Amino acid sequence: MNQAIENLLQRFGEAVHEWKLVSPNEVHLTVSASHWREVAQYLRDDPLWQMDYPADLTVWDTGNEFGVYLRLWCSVYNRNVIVLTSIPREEPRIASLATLYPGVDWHEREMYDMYGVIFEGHPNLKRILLPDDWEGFPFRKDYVAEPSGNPLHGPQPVN
Amino acid sequence: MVINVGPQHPSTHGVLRLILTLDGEQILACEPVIGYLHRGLEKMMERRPYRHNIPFTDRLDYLAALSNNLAICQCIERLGGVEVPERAQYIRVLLMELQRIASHLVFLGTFGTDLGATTMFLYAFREREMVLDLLEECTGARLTYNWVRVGGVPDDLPEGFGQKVLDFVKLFRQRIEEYDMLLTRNRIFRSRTQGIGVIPKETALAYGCSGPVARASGIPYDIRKVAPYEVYNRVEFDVPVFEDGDVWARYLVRMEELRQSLRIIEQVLRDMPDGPVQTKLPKIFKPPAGIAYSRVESPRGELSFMMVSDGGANPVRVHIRAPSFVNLSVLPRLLEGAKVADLVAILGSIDVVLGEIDR
Repeated sequence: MNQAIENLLQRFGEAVHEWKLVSPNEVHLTVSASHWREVAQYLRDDPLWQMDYPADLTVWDTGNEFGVYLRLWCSVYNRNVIVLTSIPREEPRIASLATLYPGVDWHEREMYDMYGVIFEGHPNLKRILLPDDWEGFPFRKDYVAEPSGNPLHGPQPVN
Repeated sequence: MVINVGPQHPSTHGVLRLILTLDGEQILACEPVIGYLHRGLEKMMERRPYRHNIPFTDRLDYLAALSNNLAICQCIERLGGVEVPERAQYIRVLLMELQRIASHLVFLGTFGTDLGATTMFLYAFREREMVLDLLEECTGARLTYNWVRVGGVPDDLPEGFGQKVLDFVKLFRQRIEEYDMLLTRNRIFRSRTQGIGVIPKETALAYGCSGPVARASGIPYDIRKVAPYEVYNRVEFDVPVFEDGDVWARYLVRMEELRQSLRIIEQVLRDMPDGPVQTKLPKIFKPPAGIAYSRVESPRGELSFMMVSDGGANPVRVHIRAPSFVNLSVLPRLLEGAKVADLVAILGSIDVVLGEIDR
């Protein structure tokens, strides 16, 4: 594990802002968004890592920026890696991992649906849970969730 | 030809719509359309204090509500560094395994009906009713239990509960033999499931399949083993793994899990210590800022909650990694080239619950 982390730090240098060994088989990495896909590809293909199982991907809104969270599992060494990054709210763009890990395809679509994050290179980036003609991205902190703002219904008559 | 299956169709187990492109009897492409049950639970959870969110999780996977309760409570416990008393951990494991039996029985019943073995439905629901009676005696509800708390469980087990569970275990062992006679040794059932809907190991890994779907494809991924929580590292049980990856293997995994759950229940009842069942927590619970996640092996697979806290009374973000959501994403790949007649068997064997897919 230590050798694997050392190689990763050497390979990416400044792009890995922070790392923490949480338990003997779990690492948390904070990387810069520009290296998002490269780090994921390295973790998948490097023989010391072999993170072959995409467990989870999600986004959250702090009010100032979007955080991105990716959790991977390795079926060979039973290890977990959490990769974190942040992207600006004004232009939320990040490289898609859907061609690396088919399992994150739907997760990325959902995050596009809810936060409007553009995953560049995604083969089929369209709404998944909400109707195709929905306006706005409801999980953003500044979304107006009043019933009257619901683009499907508008104000409802009171009986 | 393009046809729609669902959203209102008995074999979709909820409101799932599949857009199928057909060439005669063969499926060329399949596009699942989901979201008919979307309630925005994750956003609703951001507006409430941490512990008020537990009842929402009952409405995710409504066939295994206790697993969801446990997953969110574990996540909040990790975020706030809350310890759980030993007896509460044993009670949690006991209820989780009863819940797994109830959920797998719904699978067996509906899967049998999907394939025309209607008798199985009556048998499976007869036993499920017994499990639900036990859970009702303990929690007061039959489906939406809301019975796990941050730092333990709300109450101790009722008087004489252990003996009732043991009686059920003894009876249920014989009943599993009956299921074997009805389905496992049924030639029609076998020929409709063997070699159908094969997920190769590499595909299951790359798509992030979990639970019985992954284990039927040769991946020994069971959270109870790879990252034991509560007291799962103190009980002995086997994780059934099959290599074939077909509908038949997924059925066999669940049948074997029923037997393993019984083993766990017996050990838990034997070893359960006395003591308190809940940790005292402050009235206004504010965990420190940070990110935490929890993983639970729900009957459908890896159920994971991820929470972001800024130190306030409400979470900044709650994310639910629903096992059915991920398992369903492999369906288009699985149905390519399959026969229309096998659609129901394949979809049934993934055992999706739309409540947790749409959230």
